Amino acid sequence: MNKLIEMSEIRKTYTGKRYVLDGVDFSLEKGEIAAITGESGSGKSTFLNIVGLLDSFTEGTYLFDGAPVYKNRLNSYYKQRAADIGFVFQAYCLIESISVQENILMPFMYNDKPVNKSLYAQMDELLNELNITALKDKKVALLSGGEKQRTAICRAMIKKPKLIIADEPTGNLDEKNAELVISAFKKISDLGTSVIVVTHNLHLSFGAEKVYALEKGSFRLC
Amino acid sequence: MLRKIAFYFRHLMLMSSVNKIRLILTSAGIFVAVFLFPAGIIVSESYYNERLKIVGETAEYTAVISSPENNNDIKESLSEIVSQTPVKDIVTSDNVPVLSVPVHGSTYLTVMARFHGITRTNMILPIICDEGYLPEKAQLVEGRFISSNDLAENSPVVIIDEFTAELICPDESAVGKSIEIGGKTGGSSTAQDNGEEMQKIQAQIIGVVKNSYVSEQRRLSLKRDLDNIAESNIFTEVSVYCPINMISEWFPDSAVQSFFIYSFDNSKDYEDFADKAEYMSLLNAKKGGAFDISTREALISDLEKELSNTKSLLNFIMTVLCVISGISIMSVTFFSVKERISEIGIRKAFGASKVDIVFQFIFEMLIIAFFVSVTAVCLAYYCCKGAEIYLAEKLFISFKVNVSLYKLALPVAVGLIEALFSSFVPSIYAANIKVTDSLRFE
Repeated sequence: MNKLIEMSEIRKTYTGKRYVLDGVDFSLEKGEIAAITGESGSGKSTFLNIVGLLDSFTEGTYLFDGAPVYKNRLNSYYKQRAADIGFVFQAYCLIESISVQENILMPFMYNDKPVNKSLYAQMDELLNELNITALKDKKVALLSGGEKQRTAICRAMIKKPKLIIADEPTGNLDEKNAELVISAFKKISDLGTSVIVVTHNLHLSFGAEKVYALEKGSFRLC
Repeated sequence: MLRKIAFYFRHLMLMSSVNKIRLILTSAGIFVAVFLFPAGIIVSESYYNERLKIVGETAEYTAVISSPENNNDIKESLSEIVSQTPVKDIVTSDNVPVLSVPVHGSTYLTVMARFHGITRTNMILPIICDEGYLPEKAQLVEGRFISSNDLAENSPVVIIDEFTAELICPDESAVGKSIEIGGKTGGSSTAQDNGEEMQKIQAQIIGVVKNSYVSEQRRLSLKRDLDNIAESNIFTEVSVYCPINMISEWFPDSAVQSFFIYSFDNSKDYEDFADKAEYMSLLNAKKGGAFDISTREALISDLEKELSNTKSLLNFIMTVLCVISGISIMSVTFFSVKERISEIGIRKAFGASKVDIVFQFIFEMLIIAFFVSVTAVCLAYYCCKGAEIYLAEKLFISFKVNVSLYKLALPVAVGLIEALFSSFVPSIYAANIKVTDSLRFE
């Protein structure tokens, strides 16, 4: 089986009255890049949270890497989050009080992957690729928005997850650095990591095989 | 694997110190509770250990009988219950001057001797301290002890301690020198007692024994008096030991107060004696002639009871302090959780379980508590050490820090337990924060 994500008839409501997601069907192959666009409040973040096993859904079926995701057992998916999913949040979500390096390596506290010389070499390579090598020991609180964004991308990519979920990953970047990020995502998808990118800028669609528009709680393939 | 564990804990240790305000507030809370505890333990333990040491060093199977009145009745009563009196000690009720030397202008140092008459040639000598009249197993520094010949021939010989020797024969050995009771000694000037010339008695010093705890205390008191010379004369008291019959020969008119020290070879005889003496004391009490019986066990038991009461008081104060500081630490941890909601969300998003979050908050608090507690204990210890020096040098009070490592480990354990309990509820609260809510938190 090559499908990493298979979602069928996913519905989500917070109030019990209005459905934020109303019958979403979504699938993603391993190593595939999907771009999602949509207006503010269209349910993009809710969708990403459900895909990333951060939030539960109300109805529907969801298979992650072939295994069913149960809507009421959200707390038991921390191992999948630790090993298989990397997040790039729109608000960066970095720990401000510690260094770039500490932030990037933080996910390794919670997964089974080894912390060794090759990991540090890999981190250096990624930092170089994203042009933030000089910031390695700097506190995150002292970084600019673009630098934080690239640090967050580095943190998501370093553990080589099965899936990267990126919410506006180039939102705070200039054209040159945006290109660097797009190239890094393409590179990692070639190695088998699937990527879901939310973007408002469709011309930066990251070379996505599929581009979806989220409208009225369901997807439309563009 | 070890590398991974080291990485995990290094990160948590880093996190425990990144928030300076939390670090300071938590440290202050733990420090207040923990510092007073070892300080109290060190002071009380040292005080009682010193006293227990004095009592503990007294001769085994020895009982002291004392009565403020009616000596003949005591003698009669005791003669009924003992056939032999291994050590009998009689103390003069008044001190006798043995030395008077000018130390500053018109100020004189007058050394008063309390004479103890002894009946046996063993090394048990009486000392008087706060706990009462104690028989101490003395250590001979030089010379010899009183022999059976001295007792039989009523030789005018005496034994003194190092403190007395230092006073009456400075810079030379005291053994072989003569002591002039009520008069001059070894060529020193003559002592006067309110202008009246006392009867001069010559006695030869035959031995010097190691200072008792009481002698050390008197040495400090004398140092204080000499450092703060006022107009009046300085007096100090020393102990002199002589054959018992010399007491009545040297001081025929002295009002003699009696203490009797009985020592036995085995516990059976000793317990038998103590039981009978106690019974006799009760009988005599009805006639108004009770006497006190002090045994080593009774003194130790009294001290231990006193120590236990002090400990209870300390524990109560400590518990109150722990509760107060525990509440403050809990508040600080709650504040910290609220401040770190976003971090909790990030960690959960990247795979931290509820247990990881609980463990992180508790571990951070334990790390702070450990370092603060160890610092507080060290500081308390060195403060007490400082107090020991200050008391001896400035106030001339003998206080020796004497506490076991185990007792010092206790406050560290209390600090850790306090940190564990006070951070537990906030940690559970942190672990239960919904990940999507915390990621939205700014």
